[in-house]
Amino acid sequence: MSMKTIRLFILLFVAAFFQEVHAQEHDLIFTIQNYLQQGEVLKAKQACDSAVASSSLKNNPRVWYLRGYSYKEYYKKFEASSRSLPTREEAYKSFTHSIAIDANNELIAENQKNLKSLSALYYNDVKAFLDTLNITAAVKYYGLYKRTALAADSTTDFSKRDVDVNLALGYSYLKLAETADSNQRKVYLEKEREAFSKVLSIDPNNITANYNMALLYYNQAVKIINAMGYDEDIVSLNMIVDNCTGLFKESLPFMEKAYHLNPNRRETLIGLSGIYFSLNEEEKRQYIDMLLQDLDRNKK
Amino acid sequence: MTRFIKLAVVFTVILMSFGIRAADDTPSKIKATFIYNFTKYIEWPPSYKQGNFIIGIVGTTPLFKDLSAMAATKKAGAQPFEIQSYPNVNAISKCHLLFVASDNAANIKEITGKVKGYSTLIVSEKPGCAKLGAAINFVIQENKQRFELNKANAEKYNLKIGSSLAGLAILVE
Repeated sequence: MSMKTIRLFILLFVAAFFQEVHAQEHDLIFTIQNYLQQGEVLKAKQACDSAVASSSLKNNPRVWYLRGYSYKEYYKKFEASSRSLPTREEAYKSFTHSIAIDANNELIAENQKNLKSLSALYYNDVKAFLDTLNITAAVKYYGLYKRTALAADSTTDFSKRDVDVNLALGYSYLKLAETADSNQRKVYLEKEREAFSKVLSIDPNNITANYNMALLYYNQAVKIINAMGYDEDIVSLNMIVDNCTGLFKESLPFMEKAYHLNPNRRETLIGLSGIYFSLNEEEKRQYIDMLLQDLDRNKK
Repeated sequence: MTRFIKLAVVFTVILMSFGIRAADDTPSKIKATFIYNFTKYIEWPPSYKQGNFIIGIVGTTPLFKDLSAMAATKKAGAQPFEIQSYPNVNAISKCHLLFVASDNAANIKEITGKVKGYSTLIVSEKPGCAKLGAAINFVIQENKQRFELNKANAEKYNLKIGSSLAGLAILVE
C-alpha cells in the first residue's frame, strides 16, 4: 500500500468520523426538541444536561438555549407553586450563556424572549410575596426580576415598576407596623417612609405616595398623643406638643400636594382637614370642610 | 416553541385603607392634659380640698369628652373629678375650674362676675381673654398649643400658682 493510499484512507476515516459525530449531535438536538414538543420536560432537561457535559456540544448555543427553555418549562410544570429558585436560575444561566457564545446572534431573539418570560415569572412572585407581607422575599425577587429583564433588554425602563413595587412595599411596611412592638414599629415606619420617598423621587406627582407620606407623619403624631396619659407631666407634655406639631407640619406639604393634584378626592380632603385641625388652623380647616361638604352634595 | 408571558401583574393592595379618623381630636386631648396639670400646679384654699373637684364647662366644646375620660381615671389629689356642663352663663355654679369655650368668650366679664366670691380658676381659649378676667387662656403659637397666665386673675380668687407652671406659661398682666 502506497503512502498516497494510506493518506487517502486516513482522510476518509476522519471525514466519516466527523460526519458521524455531527450526525450524533444533530440527533441529540433533534431528540431534545422532540421531548419538548411532546411536553416531556424532565427528559428534555436531562438530555440537555448530558449534552452540555459533552465536549462536542458544550459550546453549542442552541443546546444552551434548549437547556434554558427545558429548565424554564420544567419549573412552570412542576415547581411554580413553590416559587423556588434553582431551576429558574439554571434557566437564566443557560439563556445568558447561550447569548454569550452565540457569535452569529442566531438565537438572540429567542433567548431574549425567554428571558423576558422568565422575568415575568419573578415579577409574579414579587406580587405574591407582597400579598403575604413576605417583604424580604419580595425585595429579593424584584432584584432577580430586574436582573433578568435587563438581560432580556438592556434598555428596560423600570420606572413604572419601581413605583408600583415601592407603593406596595410602603403599604406592606405600614401593615406590619400596625401589629409590631414599639421598636420594630419604628423600623417599619422608616422603611415605609423610604419606600414612598423612592416613589416620589421617580414620580413627584404620585397622589398615592404623597397621600400616604402625609398619613405616615400624621398617624405618628396621633399615635403619640393618643398613647399619652392625662397625667403626663407638663414639661414632657410641652415636648410632646413640640414633637407632634413638627410631625403634623411634615405631613402637611404632602397632603397639600395630593390635594392640588386632585382637589376632588375625598380621602385627601379629609386628610387635609385633619392636619389643619391638628395644627390649630381653624379657618383653613373650615374651608376644607366646606369643600368636602360641596363634594358630597354634588355626588348625591 | 416559546410562549410569551405578559407582565400583567397588578398590585391590588388598597393603599388608602389607613385614613385619617374623625375621632382623632388631638387638640382636645392636649388641652385636657394641660387642665389636669393645672390642678396639680395650682393650690386651692383648704375649704376646696374636700368633696369632688368640679370642672365646669360653659359653652360648646369637644373638650367635654376628653375631660370626662380624664375624670374617669384620675383624681385631683384625693378628690374625684366631676364634670359639669352649663348651657349658659346663668347656669354656672360653684366650681373649682371653669372652662369657657370660645363661643362664650364674649361673656367673659359676665362670667367673672358670676364666680366672684368663689375660688374658681377660669380657663378660656380665645385671644385676649387673659386680660379680660381669665387666669389661664389657651393660645396657639406657631401652630402649638400654649397657655397664657394672668397671675393677678388667679390670686384674685385665692389661688396660688406654682412657680414651675408660671415658668412654662406666657405671662400676661
